[in-house]
Amino acid sequence: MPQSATTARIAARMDVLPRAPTRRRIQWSGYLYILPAFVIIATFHFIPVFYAIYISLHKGAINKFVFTGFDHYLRALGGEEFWNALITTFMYAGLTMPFTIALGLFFAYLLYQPFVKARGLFRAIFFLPYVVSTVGSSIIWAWIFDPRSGLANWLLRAFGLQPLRWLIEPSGIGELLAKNMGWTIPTWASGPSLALVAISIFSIWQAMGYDIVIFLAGLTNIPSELYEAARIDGASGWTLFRHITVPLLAPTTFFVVVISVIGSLQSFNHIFTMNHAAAQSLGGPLGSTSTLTVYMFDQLYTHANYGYATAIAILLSLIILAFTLFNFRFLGRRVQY
Amino acid sequence: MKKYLALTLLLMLAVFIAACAAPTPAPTKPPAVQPTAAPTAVPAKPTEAPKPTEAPKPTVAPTAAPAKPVEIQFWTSQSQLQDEALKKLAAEFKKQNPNITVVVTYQGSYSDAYKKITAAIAAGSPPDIAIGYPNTIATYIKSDAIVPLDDYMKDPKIGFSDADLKDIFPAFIDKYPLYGNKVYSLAFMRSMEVMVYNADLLKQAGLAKPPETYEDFLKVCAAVSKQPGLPCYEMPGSGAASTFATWVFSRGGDLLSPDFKSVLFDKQAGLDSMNFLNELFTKKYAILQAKSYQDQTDFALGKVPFTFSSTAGLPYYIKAIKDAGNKVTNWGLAPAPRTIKDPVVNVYGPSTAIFKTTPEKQQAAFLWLKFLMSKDANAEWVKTTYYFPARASTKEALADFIKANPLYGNAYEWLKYGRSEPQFTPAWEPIRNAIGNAMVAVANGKATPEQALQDAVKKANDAIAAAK
Amino acid sequence: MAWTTVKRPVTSVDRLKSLTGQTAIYAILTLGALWALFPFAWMVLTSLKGYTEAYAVETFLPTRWLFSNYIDAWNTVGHFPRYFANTLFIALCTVAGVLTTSTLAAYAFARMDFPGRDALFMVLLATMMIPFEVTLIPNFILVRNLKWVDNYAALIIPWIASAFSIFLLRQFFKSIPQELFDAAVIDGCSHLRFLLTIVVPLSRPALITSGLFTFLASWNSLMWAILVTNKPEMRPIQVGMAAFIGEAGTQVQLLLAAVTISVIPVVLLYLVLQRWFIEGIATVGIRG
Repeated sequence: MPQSATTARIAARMDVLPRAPTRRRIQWSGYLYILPAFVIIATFHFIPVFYAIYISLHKGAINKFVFTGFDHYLRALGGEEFWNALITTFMYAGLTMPFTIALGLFFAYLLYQPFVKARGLFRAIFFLPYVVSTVGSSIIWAWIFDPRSGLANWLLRAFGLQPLRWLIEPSGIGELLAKNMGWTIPTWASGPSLALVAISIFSIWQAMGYDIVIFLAGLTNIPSELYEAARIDGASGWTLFRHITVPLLAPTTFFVVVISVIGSLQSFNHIFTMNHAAAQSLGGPLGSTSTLTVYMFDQLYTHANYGYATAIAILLSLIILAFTLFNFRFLGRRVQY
Repeated sequence: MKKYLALTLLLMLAVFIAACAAPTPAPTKPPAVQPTAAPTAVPAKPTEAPKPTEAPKPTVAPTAAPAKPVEIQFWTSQSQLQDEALKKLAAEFKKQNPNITVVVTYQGSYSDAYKKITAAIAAGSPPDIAIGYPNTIATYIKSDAIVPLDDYMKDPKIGFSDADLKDIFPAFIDKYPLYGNKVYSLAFMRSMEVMVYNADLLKQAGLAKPPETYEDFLKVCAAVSKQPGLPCYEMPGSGAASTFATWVFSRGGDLLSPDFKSVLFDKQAGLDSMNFLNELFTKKYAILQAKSYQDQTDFALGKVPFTFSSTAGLPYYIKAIKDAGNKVTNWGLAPAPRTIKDPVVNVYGPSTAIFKTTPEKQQAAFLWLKFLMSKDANAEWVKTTYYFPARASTKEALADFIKANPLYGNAYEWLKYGRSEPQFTPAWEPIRNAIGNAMVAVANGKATPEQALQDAVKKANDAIAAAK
Repeated sequence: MAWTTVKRPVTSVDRLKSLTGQTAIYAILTLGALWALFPFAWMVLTSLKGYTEAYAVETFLPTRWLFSNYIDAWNTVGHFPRYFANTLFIALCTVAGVLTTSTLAAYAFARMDFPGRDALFMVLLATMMIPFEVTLIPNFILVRNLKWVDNYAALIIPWIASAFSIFLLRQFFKSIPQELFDAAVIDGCSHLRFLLTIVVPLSRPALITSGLFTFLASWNSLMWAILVTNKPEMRPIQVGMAAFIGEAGTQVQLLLAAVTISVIPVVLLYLVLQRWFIEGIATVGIRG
């Protein structure tokens, strides 16, 4: 018992006192711990990357490759399509990531309140969207966004608003809004297409429960003694959140941010299935939902351009890697204690 | 609460201290590498060809039926009822050729199967024979994975006789102009793009029979549009390249030159077709579909007078109309309206190709394909799928079926008007998409018909250049 | 435990305040739950409707509840029990594998010091950044050469290690107070023992979370399964579903019935895990 109290006290002061300098001692057995995971990941997920790099430097049919150097990379960087897809990717990330993370943390924190009785039930419900395969839920959501008989337009009509075309609307939301107001705006201000916004709504719905579960697990890992100790000191509400939850949840938040960046820059499944469920061509309508992964997929399977498609994939990976490194440098440093 | 925690920690500490008290704890009991997972019952069994044999074997067709038992892998995208039908045919085939076992395997949708076959080619383990759209087969040819069938077809022992060749419709023998104009695939099924019409709605516009001209078509649209909420045509949200091809054919035009090297769909017939589409949308006669087969459902509910559909969709129309409570009783199929004298239909669909494996397997695969194209087997297949058979003589075997399905029977007569969209090149898929995109741009008022076509031509030319 | 018992007197104002606060929180949670649930409600309702009715949004409830849709969907997909058994077996093996390999690796990354640790960790993360489609072909070649086609091994082994899970667990292991660790090491306890006796029990929620995500990813994966299996009896549920979706076409009510059927086992399993979740929470003592 004294043991636990001491531990808790030490832990409670953790973010106040400078940490005792850890002894730097090389632990060679660490390699053994990572060995099983590394064998599998190297074999099936890392070494194939070199094959991908090889393909990206070649053109031609699948087993009749011809070396072409950096042509594919130059073509991607010099062409409009790649940059358009990149912009769409960032717009999609901007439309989904902040909302998903904020809502995830918000609901997780509410659920975490000690008095909440049906916590398990709520969490089960929040997480349900993530459990259903994307194929299934995209069918449901394409129904919701159906222009004629969908729930979304039914709701708009109920509020006396004009029905929208949602998943099949290639016009930007800025453009639609301006048209409604009778303004004209330059094309660059037209913003993401309504179709992309609709897909983002679906994606937020699907991923929110995921963030809630991770945040909740993170909150649960915070020793409750810290809160109790702080309460004795008279802290409550916002102060508790600001000074205990936020710093101690930092590793979890960091994890969620990194994974969300990777996930939203790579997002493909939702877009593919939503396009499909709404009878659109891949990346449609009119390419307005064509993110980099969608563009890559299109090049890979519609155009059978293995080399070019793989070059795009590698460029995308470099972009993601850059973001991740950035996260580790600037966010990670503040997180790792 | 507190007690709980304290107790747990205490317990853990006890375990932990006990653990640590042990003399020099063996630090690295090799972490459970033997990963819990693998030990499954099924032994690794090389179901693939025992030898990958990528060496392109000479295509001289051997002359006799196989002496030793052969098993061939037949990969399809036909699920459920069609899968069962193919398996039944394989059993039938086995009776006639006891030495050949055909293993029919459903490999997912056409695009899933395409991915799988592409990977399998790269790994040197393609199937022996597979169903796919000709443009995907063209990419396999490009990878040097497909056997040309000309020699097999000509072979006096196992090939087609002259009578056979006369009997088989030319649209079912696929020549690939980009690859020496050789026959790389054969089709045992084709469908055609037709116009489906609701006769009752036509009557309201004063038309006793389906429109044969585009003027009449628009007349129906004008009449129907007086009732709010009734469109005249619903275009798929991804465009409708096969329908566009039909419209262009019906105006005497073509999409690509016969050698598939230059674009023709921006000529007058193409421009007229795009203008027609533009008119449908600017006059609010047409809407965009927001889900697959929305037009089919709406047709069954009596909400749209026309759809353009593949005849392979016919069973689904029949079922949809029945499920919708037979609201639509008076309906039929017709060729698209036209400006030229004779009607024209776009005949297209999946083909079957044989992969380079061993001479024995290639030959067995050819015998199986030939069986699928034979009169009786072909008739069986048609009855399940409403596809069109490869031979004229199949019609006799289908007499009862045609009597029971007059709609199918009508369409059968138009086979002689058949033309094919340019699907025998890897460029066709991107070109399809480019045309579809152009249609969607016009439908949304984002481009004039001329602009839209110009964009599509640019993309099509890129695809043609890449296909070489 | 005297230090926890100091409390200031509770006034009625406080009680009222906390009561309105609690009501507000419950209201927001309920709203969120409705947002998460309404598509499913619509799915189930649609799956019980007739064909014509399914297309009319005006009737929210089915006029006739057609439970027969479920029988139709079940029969059309066919082989459901076999598909389910395969999927379950594959998913459970994968989860067991991932948890084992990830716990070990995550611990090393979080708590041990060895040369190149951070570089290796970045390499690990980098593997998450290459889209799956790109490594499809080389992986298939490998699996074929290992003669794993039509073998459960192909469906399991490549997925029994996950950079995602390692990253997730590493983050959780990091949040375990360093002092707990220092105390243990001072006592001369080995890393493995510390991991098994302290870290693992403390991280139960994280382990279950990681297992859950692995389970779902395995359950819902389609393309790889098509690629490495030919025999129908080796295939998981998603392949059957994909075939059915292609076939059902316009029959939305059947489609949604099939989707519902495929969802139910996952939901049930999730609800079972739910109990563990709570238990895990109790172990850490958060409900103090």
